[in-house]
Amino acid sequence: MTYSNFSYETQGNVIEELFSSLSKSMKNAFSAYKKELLLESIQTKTFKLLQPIDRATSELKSFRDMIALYYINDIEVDSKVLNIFYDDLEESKDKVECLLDEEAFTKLSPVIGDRLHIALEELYVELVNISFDISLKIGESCIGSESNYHFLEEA
Amino acid sequence: MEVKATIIFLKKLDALIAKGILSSAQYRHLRCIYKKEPLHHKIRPHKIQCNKHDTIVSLSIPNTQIRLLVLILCKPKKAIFVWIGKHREYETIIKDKRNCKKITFNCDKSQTENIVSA
Repeated sequence: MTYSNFSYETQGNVIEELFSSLSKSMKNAFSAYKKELLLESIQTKTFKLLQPIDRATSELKSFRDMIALYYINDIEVDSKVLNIFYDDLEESKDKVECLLDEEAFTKLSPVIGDRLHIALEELYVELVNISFDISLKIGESCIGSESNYHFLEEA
Repeated sequence: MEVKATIIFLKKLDALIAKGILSSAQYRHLRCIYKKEPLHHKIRPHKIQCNKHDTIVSLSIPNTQIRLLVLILCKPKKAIFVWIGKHREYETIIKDKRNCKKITFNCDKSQTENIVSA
């Protein structure tokens, strides 16, 4: 798939499908983690959690490329789409941040704990960067166009 | 100077206030200083030279771990608050070289040289 002239107007369905797929992956990652935390056998099962976390991370990397090439045609329409995605990202980012500070890691064996921590750290980095990309994308489109400038508010 | 903010910035600001990480008074204090004196030492304006010609400008809210990233245009003089967040997120953003090129900073050198480089 090529990202030339990629925008909500031309590729709306594709974007929605991708958002929905990412959202599902993120939910799977977190629900799996929560369930597993309750089990005493967490040590042996932790590796199973790595798969959805790594999958979510790699999907986010693709999304970052997509956001970089996303062209805002109509700030009213595009910002609504990006806002919905942004809210999901922020919610996920807060959850990952809590997990990273979780003391449970210290109870895991160093190898498993470290691997899980690294996977979550990578996920966190992608979430932060995409949130930033979206913030900036909207800012740049407002400052770069007189018709979009009204979309800004008083600081 | 005209200072605006994106809706996403204001949304994130509200979230930080709701979580008790930042008070609205602390934010108003920064905004007040910035409008009067964008280079005031209290808000620690920093240029982060991340690539050869690219710069990120950051501000700090006094006595907090909260950082702001600002998009600045000099002609006409405008500032847009585009991002706000915790120091942990800020560190993540400035470490990534891909983020550098996106911050527009089209001021003449003479107009920006007073901002301290990190």
